[in-house]
Amino acid sequence: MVEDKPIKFSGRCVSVHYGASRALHNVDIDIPDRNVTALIGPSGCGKSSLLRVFNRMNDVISNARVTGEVRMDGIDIYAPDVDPVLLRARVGMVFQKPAPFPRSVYENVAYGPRLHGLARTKARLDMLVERSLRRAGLWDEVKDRLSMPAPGLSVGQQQRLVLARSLAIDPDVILMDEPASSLDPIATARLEALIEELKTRYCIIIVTHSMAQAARISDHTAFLHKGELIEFDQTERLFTNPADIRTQDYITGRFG
Amino acid sequence: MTDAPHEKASIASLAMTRRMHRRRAAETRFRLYGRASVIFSMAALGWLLLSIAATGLSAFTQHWVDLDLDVRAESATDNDRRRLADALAGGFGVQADDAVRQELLALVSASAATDALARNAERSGATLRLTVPVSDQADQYYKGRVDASRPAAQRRLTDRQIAWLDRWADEEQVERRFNRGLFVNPDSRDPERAGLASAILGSVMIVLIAGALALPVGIGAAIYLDGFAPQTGWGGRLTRALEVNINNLAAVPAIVFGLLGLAVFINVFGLARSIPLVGGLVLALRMFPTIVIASRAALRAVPDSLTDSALSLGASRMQAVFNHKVPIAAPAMLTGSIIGMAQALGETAPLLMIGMVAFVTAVPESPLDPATALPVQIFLWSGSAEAAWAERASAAIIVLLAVLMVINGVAIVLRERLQRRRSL
Ligand SMILES: Nc1ncnc2c1ncn2[C@@H]1O[C@H](COP(=O)(O)OP(=O)(O)O)[C@@H](O)[C@H]1O
Ligand SMILES: [Mg+2]
Repeated sequence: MVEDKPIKFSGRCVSVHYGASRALHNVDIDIPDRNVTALIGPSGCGKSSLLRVFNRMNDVISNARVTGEVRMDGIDIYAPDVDPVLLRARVGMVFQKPAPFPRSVYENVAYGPRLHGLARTKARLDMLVERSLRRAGLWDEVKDRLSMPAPGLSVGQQQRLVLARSLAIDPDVILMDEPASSLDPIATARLEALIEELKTRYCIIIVTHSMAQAARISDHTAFLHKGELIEFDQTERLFTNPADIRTQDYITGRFG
Repeated sequence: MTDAPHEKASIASLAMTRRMHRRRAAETRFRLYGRASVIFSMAALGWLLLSIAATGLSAFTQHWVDLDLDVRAESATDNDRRRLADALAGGFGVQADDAVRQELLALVSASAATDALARNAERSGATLRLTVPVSDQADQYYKGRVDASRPAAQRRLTDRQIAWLDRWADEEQVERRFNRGLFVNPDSRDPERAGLASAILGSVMIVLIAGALALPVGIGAAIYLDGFAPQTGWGGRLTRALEVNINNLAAVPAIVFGLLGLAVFINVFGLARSIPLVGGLVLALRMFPTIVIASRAALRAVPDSLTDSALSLGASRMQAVFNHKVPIAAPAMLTGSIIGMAQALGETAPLLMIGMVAFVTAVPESPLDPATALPVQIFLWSGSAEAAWAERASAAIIVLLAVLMVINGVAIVLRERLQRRRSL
């Protein structure tokens, strides 16, 4: 691949095991910064497992084990002196099903900055909350009801709220695990437009089961199959001219 | 479809319609069973409450008699009982012999009256006005529980005694009052002076001690097991073994905890018998598994997605659990804990094992003084056949039930409050 953008993550020989079973096998991948990278593949192929490698959320799963080397900006994020808590302050994550905290909209967004002491004053915190909600494209809809309980928002709004929540800690990277799977087409379109906007600032890695979505929004696409990275290329090239027969079968809908 | 001329067009076949009838009938039967079982259990509960109320409510009042005693100097002996009997005889204008004295003394709470006499010893010679409780038999008579038409041999009051009691009533010397003594007196050999003070204080101290120990330890253990204990490898095996054993502990009969308390706290640590401290320690052990199990269930019900979200925002595990799991689980944890405390309040068997069944005639001042507990007091009083004791046992049951209802009410209010605060 010919790249003009700097590499954000580089993984070498990354494997993920759950107990005795292997979910991801010797993956080598270089993910460029300020870019949208899509992970596609049939369900159970290890997309989520790979995504969780980048913010060490696999550490949270009690029987999960990650081996290999993963560097972010050249720094080994699995080195013993790296605190996953600090790593996660720089790598935000949006889950498949939005899980807003059962608190107010404001409190949801303010939680991260409070954790990390990002805002010394109330005014600064207000500003951070507003900026994050604006970036997530939610500000205009909630600015008059910041104190309403977040679970009362629509699912599409909730998904943008949790996006705003992770933007509030000022990360470099945003990981998204099938963020549109519980959204209707209109909310999905909004989210995709938002991703398009955000990629100028952030490195975005998105898992999606929709090839159309991957084709629409991503610059690079990785195709995984049975825990292996089959092909990783510029999206256009991967979809028009796949190098591997399995990729071709998958994108033409022959399996998965 | 049949083509019988009289049959209306139908949306379903005959067979389906018939099956539908059977399904409907089954549903109707099930409804009936349900209603019958609800009615049966309500009736059983209602009957229980009614019978307790019928015997026990009267114990909350008691009859007192005003006595104008002419404690004459010549009858002044060292014997207060005799002085009292003579004075009573004088009041009724009868000649006092031993039999008469005996019967007269059985009309009032003799011990209360002689105590009052002794307190007023220096005033002997004058007319003394005393207000004392009537005896338990007289009290039962005034409450209409003695059938005067039955032959004298079948009742505990003689015809003469009944005549005297009627005379007090006619002269309006008798007054029915709220039975304060039931709440402020300790146990006594005389039913009319026996109260629940020792039992209530004992129970309160036991439950407070048990709660103070079992709540933090139990809730802490549940939070640890849920969010922090190792789940894999040997540590995970240990965790699971621990959980199984906590569940087993909850199924251990209460009396076994009493034996444990006897062996450990009394025999090994040398604490005294019959004291609320030991009762509290034993019941803390008893409550612990209940609290752990209830709190575990409450914590498990909180979706992991919340803690995962918090972790992905860079919260530590401690922060994720305490900011997002515990507050949501708190109402249910609280309810479980209060149910555990209510169970402890009604627990009897382990307290018998550690000697809290003793006859305690002093109000305990600290958890190290001998005391009884409400359920034990009920056990003790219901062992006596006299009507006055049966009445008091039922009254004690009413007090215990009232306390339990208050506790449950508090639990509900707290839960609602917490839930409302959580949903902002
Ligand atoms: N927590 C877990 N424990 C055990 N196995 C898991 C766990 N999470 C995922 N797996 C297994 O790992 C494989 C890959 O899962 P995942 O990464 O979630 O796939 P995808 O996101 O592509 O559907 C699957 O076979 C799945 O069953
Ligand atoms: Mg997945």
